[in-house]
Amino acid sequence: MIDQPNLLQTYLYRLTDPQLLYLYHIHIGDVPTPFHKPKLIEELISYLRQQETLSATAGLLEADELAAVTAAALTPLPSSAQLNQILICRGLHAAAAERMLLHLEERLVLLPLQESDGTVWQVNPLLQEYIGGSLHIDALFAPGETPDGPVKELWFTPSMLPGWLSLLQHRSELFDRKGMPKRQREGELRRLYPGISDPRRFSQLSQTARKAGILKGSFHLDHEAARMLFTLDSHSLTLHFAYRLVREYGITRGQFARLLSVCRHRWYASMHLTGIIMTLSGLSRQQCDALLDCLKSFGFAAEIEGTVSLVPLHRSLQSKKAYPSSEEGHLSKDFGIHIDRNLPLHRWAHAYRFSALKLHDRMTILQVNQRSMLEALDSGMSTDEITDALRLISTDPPALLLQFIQEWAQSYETISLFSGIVLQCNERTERIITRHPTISSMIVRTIAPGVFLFSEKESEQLRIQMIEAGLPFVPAVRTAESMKHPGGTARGTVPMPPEPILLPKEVDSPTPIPRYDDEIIKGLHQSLERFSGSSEMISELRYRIDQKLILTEQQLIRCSKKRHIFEAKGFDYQGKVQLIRQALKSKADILEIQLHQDGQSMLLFPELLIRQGNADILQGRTIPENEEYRISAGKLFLVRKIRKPLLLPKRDSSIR
Amino acid sequence: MQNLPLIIQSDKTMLLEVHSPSFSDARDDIAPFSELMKSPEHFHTYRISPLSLWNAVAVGFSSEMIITRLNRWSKYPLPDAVEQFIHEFASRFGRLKLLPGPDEQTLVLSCSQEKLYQELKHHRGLQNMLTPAGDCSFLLSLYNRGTVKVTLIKLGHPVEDIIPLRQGKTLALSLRETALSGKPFDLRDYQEEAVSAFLGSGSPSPGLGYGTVVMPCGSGKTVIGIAAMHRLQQQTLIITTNTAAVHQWIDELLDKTSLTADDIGEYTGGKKEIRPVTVCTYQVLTWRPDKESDFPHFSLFQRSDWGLIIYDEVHLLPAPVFKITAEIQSTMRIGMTATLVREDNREDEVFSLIGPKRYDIPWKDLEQKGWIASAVCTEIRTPLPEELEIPYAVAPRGEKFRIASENPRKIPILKELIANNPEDLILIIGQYVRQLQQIARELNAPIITGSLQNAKREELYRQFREGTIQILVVSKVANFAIDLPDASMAVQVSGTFGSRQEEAQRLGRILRPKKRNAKFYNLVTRYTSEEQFASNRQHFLTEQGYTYQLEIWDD
Repeated sequence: MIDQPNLLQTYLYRLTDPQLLYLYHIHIGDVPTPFHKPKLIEELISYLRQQETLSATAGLLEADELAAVTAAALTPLPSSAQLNQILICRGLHAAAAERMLLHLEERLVLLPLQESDGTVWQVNPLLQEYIGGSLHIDALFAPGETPDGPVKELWFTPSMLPGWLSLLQHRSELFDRKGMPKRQREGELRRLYPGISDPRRFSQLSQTARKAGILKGSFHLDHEAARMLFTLDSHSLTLHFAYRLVREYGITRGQFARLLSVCRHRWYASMHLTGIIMTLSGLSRQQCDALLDCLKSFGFAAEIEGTVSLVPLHRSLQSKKAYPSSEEGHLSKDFGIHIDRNLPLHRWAHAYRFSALKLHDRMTILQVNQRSMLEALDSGMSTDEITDALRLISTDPPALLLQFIQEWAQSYETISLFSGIVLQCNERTERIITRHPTISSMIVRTIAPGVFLFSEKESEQLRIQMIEAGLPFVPAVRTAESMKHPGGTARGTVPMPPEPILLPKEVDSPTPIPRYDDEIIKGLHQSLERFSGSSEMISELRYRIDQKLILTEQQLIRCSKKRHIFEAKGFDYQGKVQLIRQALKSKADILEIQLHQDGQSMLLFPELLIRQGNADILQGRTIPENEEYRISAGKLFLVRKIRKPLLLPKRDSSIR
Repeated sequence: MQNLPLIIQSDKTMLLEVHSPSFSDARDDIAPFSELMKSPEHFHTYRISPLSLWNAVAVGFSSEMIITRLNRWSKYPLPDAVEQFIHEFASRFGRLKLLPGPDEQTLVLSCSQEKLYQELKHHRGLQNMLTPAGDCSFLLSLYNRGTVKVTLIKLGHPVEDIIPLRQGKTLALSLRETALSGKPFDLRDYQEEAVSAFLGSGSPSPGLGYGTVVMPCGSGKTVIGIAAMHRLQQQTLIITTNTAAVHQWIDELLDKTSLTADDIGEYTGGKKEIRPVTVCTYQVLTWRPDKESDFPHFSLFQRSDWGLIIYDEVHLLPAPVFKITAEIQSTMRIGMTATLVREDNREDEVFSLIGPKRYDIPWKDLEQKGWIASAVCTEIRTPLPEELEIPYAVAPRGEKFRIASENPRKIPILKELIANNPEDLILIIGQYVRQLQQIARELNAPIITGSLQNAKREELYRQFREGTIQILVVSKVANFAIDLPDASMAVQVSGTFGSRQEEAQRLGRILRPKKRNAKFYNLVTRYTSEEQFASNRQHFLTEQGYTYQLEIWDD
């Protein structure tokens, strides 16, 4: 539970005196003088806590006001703009929404809190505790009537994904390098997914595979990710995919669950559902609209006559109850795999690795063939895994299919292609290599006696280890290409001279950069002496010349026309205080201070200038230590105002 | 909810679960408006096509009736696209009607929609054949009847041909209760069904009397042809694949009907008899002196005597015969095949010109009922001998297949198979004559190839039927229409690349019901293109529910 008095207390303490006195005045009455701030705050909290006050405050809330309070209670720390937008979704004008928030603030119903990134709103915690039960989303947006007419089934179901993965795995020619379907192959995809009439769905399927973490990088399938995913049941998977979609908009798992819970079976005016999502997620209206469009595009949300709902998603989660669940898939002697859409995904989804999609609709039809088996074996699947997967689909797979799988696997194993460094050596070297602990651990495979395969990435390390092991004559790696064409030219091509490098007509020796030596500085100082400005200005210009900020006489003339004072020192007490005030006010400056004429200078973030008796105390934080530092302005020999570097964080500062 | 057996996919295919208790009822319900595509062991696949819908509408179905039947058996809601498709295409049938014209040589094509009328009027391909005649109708010549129908059906507009089919000359014909061979003869239930599907229960009404019957080899397609002749009692032209098949037809007609030898004519290369029932070959019909000449024997088609034309092995119908068939649309016609699979993809022309598939029955259904033999199919793989590995590896693609097909290691396997099956009558079937001759020499077995005279072929077939020779080596001349009822084992040593229908037809040679199971061996060279071709060849049979055992013979 929120520590209400503390939150309220903190809020009241942060108010300026006039603000606090005003609130005290309108809620309790005349402010006793001299006032004691803690006492005023205590009295205000005591008043707000009274049962009578709470019931009157709650009872006087109009419907729109209650909606604003609900939104503030349900939205995670809403900004003014968000609350305004939520009220606008109820049909209020922007100005009316703004006025309402100010009024609720004045009545201490809503409390604006200053956060690092702006104002956020909080319901008065005492009031929230009092009317908590009434702060339901229904108070914010009443659900509408359910439109007549059936809501179509979701076009997307998790059972579509194994077939799509099968295409990605075995029909890569249908996709571009990123795994997105090629437009010119749309016809073929339509034949494979005859239930899909909108070709955009095909791209969405690839996007789903990507969002699910299965399709990665430039067209790489993560089978382990798929394996993990398909351990979920269809219900959980549907939710998972829907969540993956909304997650990209910044919705958390908890927010998504709440959204589903709130919207179950309900239809809302389009703007209201946007408002609900805004309320639950704290996202902007644009983000919520985009999110809703995304849900609609996947069919998880439906829109009928201006009302929107997540009913389709809920229905899809319940649909499995409507039809009897299939007990198993069917493997035919023609190596076809027939999967009824009600067969649990974990029973068959992995078939995508070794079978090619023939059709996905009410029933998914896959087929095992030579090519699909080759892909499966290439992807590291063993025949045992394939057989186990088949037995999971059907308890009685055709013997012929199992026999063919073994046969294909045997053929597959008769050839091995390697890529890496192949090392061939004599018996002595072989003895060293196989017995040397480091080198032997680098052997990827012994291809034949005296022939070893090493990783290409480790070739340099291998060379070093071999030299250290007493094999100094390690030859350079000879590529197959260089051995095939020793002359370095490809067979059948005519050797050509190297392409000439075109040089500029004449290249002179480099011209030395003229240096601005002391004479120039001296010249600028001499020019400065001719100026008739104040001593502060002259001093400032001198400093800037020394710092090489003024480089030419023209610049000196321009700068001398400005009357900004950047430095005060010695007995110029008022000048120093003035500079400190300017720095505090601008918030864009920092101060360089020096306690003694010859002492070291230090940099400060000015935070406060406090008047204590006759003294002005400068409070700030040192740079870069960020330690608090206080000093009387009278003790400073020099104060210099410097533009704050851009990368330093912003600091609050004030004058008391 | 009841576990219904039908899953209707958005691509208009339907999967019917074989193991469901309501399988048969559902199948009977959907069969009239869908085509059986394949029938492996778990799911039979049917497809709703424009043609299948038009067939159904032609016999009185409406789109609502079709949808009601689908909803009755469908496990999931009918896809919207399928429902729309049914409404759209079913409604097309009947928009165009072919009616008798002002004279015998002219017909009227009546169009029920102005929009459609305008579309046809401006269609380039039809302008030469259709003459606008007002009231949304066209005149066309009798000669173009088939061509117009084919063109329109390709445009998606079926023609309801309600011109009564022409009656041929009467032929008195009765079926024997006991065949001349002494065996009792009666039509089996499925044969009766097939005839009724083709002709209707009474006399053929408009829309019937033409079509195709698809049934497995050995299931008695010839009998269906004979039964159709019996129902019609009209003179008949029968066209089949080769002279041996001509003789088989004649023998069957004599054996099972009251027809005498005088009633039946043989029209082949050797004889040119035209009688009330004439049996000829595709080869003789399509013969011509040179490429520029007409086909002199086409006149046989055009004789007005025929009340029925039977196209045996219709999947082999040559292109010129399509053309002439387009011109004889007034005659009742029936096509018969075991495999309506044309490697040239001209199934639609068979549909348009011979007629739609009227009857189809899965092979395994007949096997279960005992009407065809159970068959065990085995693929035996053996590698090439070492000395042929490199010649194979460097050979051009086409030659590779031949090297693999003629793999000499197949011969010892063949010998072992023969030795292991001494009780069987064995056919050895191959593609390459050189290979077959070598096999015949090594086995000391007779061989039939295209070059062997018909009389000698038939003598060898006779001896084989009688069991005086156990092994017969045959080339592709024996692929079709050869009835060798007691052959119980076939060994295929090579084939025509990936021909599905050839594989099925060869299996068909041993499917006549008999006491022992039929054995079909396919010898394939391991690690060669023959493996892939063999796999393709097996598609039709595996779709029919047959399974191949795989054996590897390395030594």
